[in-house]
Amino acid sequence: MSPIKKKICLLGDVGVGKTSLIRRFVENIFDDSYLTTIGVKVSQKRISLTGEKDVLMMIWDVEGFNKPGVVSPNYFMGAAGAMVVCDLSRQESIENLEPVIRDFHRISNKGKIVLAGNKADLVGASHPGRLLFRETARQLELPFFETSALNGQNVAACFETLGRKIIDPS
Amino acid sequence: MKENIPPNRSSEALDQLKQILLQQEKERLSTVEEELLELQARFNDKERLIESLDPVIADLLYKKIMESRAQMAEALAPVMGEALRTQINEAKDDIADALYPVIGKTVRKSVAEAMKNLMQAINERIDNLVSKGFGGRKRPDRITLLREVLPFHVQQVFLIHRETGLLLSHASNHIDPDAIPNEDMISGMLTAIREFSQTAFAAGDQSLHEIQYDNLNIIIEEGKYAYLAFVVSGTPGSRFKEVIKDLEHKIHLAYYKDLRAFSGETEPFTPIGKTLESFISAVHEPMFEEALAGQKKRGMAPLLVFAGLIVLLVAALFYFLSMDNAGREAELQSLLQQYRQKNGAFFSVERTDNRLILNGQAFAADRRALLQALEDAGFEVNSEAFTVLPPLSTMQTELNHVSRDLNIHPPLTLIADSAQFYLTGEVPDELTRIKAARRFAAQSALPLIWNGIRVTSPAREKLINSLNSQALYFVSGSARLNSESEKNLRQLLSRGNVRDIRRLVIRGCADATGNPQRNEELARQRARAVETVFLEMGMDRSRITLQTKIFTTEESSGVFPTKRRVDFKAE
Ligand SMILES: Nc1nc2c(ncn2[C@@H]2O[C@H](COP(=O)(O)OP(=O)(O)OP(=O)(O)O)[C@@H](O)[C@H]2O)c(=O)[nH]1
Ligand SMILES: [Mg+2]
Repeated sequence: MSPIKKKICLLGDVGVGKTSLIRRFVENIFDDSYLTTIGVKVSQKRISLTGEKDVLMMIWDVEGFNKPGVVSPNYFMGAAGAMVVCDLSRQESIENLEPVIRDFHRISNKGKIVLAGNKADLVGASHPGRLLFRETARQLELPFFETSALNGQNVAACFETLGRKIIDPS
Repeated sequence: MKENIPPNRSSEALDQLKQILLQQEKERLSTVEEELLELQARFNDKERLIESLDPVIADLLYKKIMESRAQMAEALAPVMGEALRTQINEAKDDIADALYPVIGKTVRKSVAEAMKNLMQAINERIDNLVSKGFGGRKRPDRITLLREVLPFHVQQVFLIHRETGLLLSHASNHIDPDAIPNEDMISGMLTAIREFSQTAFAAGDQSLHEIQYDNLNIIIEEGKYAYLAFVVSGTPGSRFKEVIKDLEHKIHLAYYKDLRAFSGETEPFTPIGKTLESFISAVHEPMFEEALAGQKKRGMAPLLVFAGLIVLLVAALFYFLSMDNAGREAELQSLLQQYRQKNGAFFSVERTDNRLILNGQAFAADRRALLQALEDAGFEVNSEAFTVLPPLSTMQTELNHVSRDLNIHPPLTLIADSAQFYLTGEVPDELTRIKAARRFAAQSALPLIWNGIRVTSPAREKLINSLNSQALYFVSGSARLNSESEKNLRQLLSRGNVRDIRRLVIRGCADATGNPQRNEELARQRARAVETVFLEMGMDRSRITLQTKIFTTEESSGVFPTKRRVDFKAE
């Protein structure tokens, strides 16, 4: 049976690990050399969710931005959802979650969102970044995951949650 | 095994493109300009040349083309097929890396524009030719030359949902099922590229209708909810736009509701696949189809003329026989036959009483001999429309000059096969292939040349392959190659020129036993040591990337026997 196709975007500040999360999820590899993404790169992954049709996720890896409004909003067009990523060890990347989400919703107002607090492997259990991230997520009332592209922690869970949300009609 | 390196097969063509467009923008631009001029001159010349020929020759040429279409396709298929397959199939996600910088450069636009202007001019000319003709006759050889320089094929068609960039339907002309690229990804990328270009060239009307790279073209036909993207090679005729507009229109009419409501379910669009497939095969017919499309009825005319000629000849024969001139006529026929069978010679004969009018071409020496023989046999000959070709050896010499100028070794060969001329041989890249054919066409002024030149670079390929399949091993705990590997490295480098390597990743590896810092350092030193050798051989540092890899004890060493090594990723 042919899968349902959905477009999702990964958004967030420069260097928070968007590309790394995708590579971990799609190819199950991690690479510590840093090549900043220019423009967009599209990857795909088919996921099976119990009790649902398969979803073919077309994952748009959008270049990172330090200031919101810099990236062409056209990239968000038609996205069923977005994973908005921050780096738990970089406070301003967490503070930028909200404006990034606002930008995204301006174009795709029904788009579903999950938050990824990435590089969890770098911060201790009581690191202020973790606390700020959790607090922000609760305020925004969005599902969130502390992820690590390096060791794979929660990466699949985060994508699958997004997958579930985008095929959920409600 | 090598995690952090892009796939080995990643497209050479794309890299070539990057190199051509980014590193040598200016050079490329001027080369292109030069070629445009050359091409234009060629067409102008051609016109003059043809004008001087009697109309009948056009018909004969035309007929020849009609007859040998299959042959043509055969001659071209290997050349075109390979280059294109590599480009499309191996591009995959690398398309992104390549196209972004390319489109982002304004030079790209100016080259594209120059190209387009030329193409338009040529198309107009063809249209003129076809519609008005000269004295009601077409000059298919000009069209043929054009199609030869830029043969047109539709490689793939994508129907892409506009808003999401998701693929709704796809068809390709690939026979090899393994070669099917990841269309879903490509359609996403295409959409992304369009967005990018819209942002990059923000000024109003600049939305992207055409993306060009190398000899591939992506032509986009926008519809309200979906757009069609055609990956084509060569330059489509002027009617192509109309045809695809029509296709887009039909799809929107038939699937309006499904398109509007699309939310990821592609099943409703399944039947479109068949439509797209038949579209490809209709357009795919190489080269002449389009130029001749709509001209089929007229296309019969030369055949009729030819048939008429034969009837005439038979009638004449009959007449002569009845006039008891059988012996003479037989003599004439055998004479003509003899020359007709010579490679590169083709002509027709008309006769009135004792006068013969020769149309066609023959090599100089043969022509002289033929005329002499006919005169000796008592015929009066009008040979104004009889084109004289320089002897094959002279043309080969010209071709040798072209080969020498373009650094092609061994030189290209010219093969004369009945009325056709083929260029054959091997060149390192597509540009050279086209250049060689054009130069020779301009110099030889032959009415028709088939370009059977192939693109290969054996030395480079050998070098790249051996780099990708070999590792170099080190003395334990040191950055010194063991003697075996040192020998291998030297041997490896003798296989080709390191300057031909476009990108090289040198990965220094070590195992994790012992001090981690020391291991990292060792891996780095190993990579450096090998890099030094490449630099000494003249390789550009900017093309080399160094990486390190420390294998943990549990990790396998991959395809190579030990972890104490340097391995490569070369393109
Ligand atoms: N320790 C650790 N490093 C990470 C993790 N994810 C990414 N990195 C590193 O962070 C750097 C940036 O990662 P990318 O994935 O390229 O970041 P990005 O968000 O795609 O960056 P842009 O494309 O520039 O916006 C790289 O050096 C990665 O190796 C992680 O989970 N843990
Ligand atoms: Mg990135």
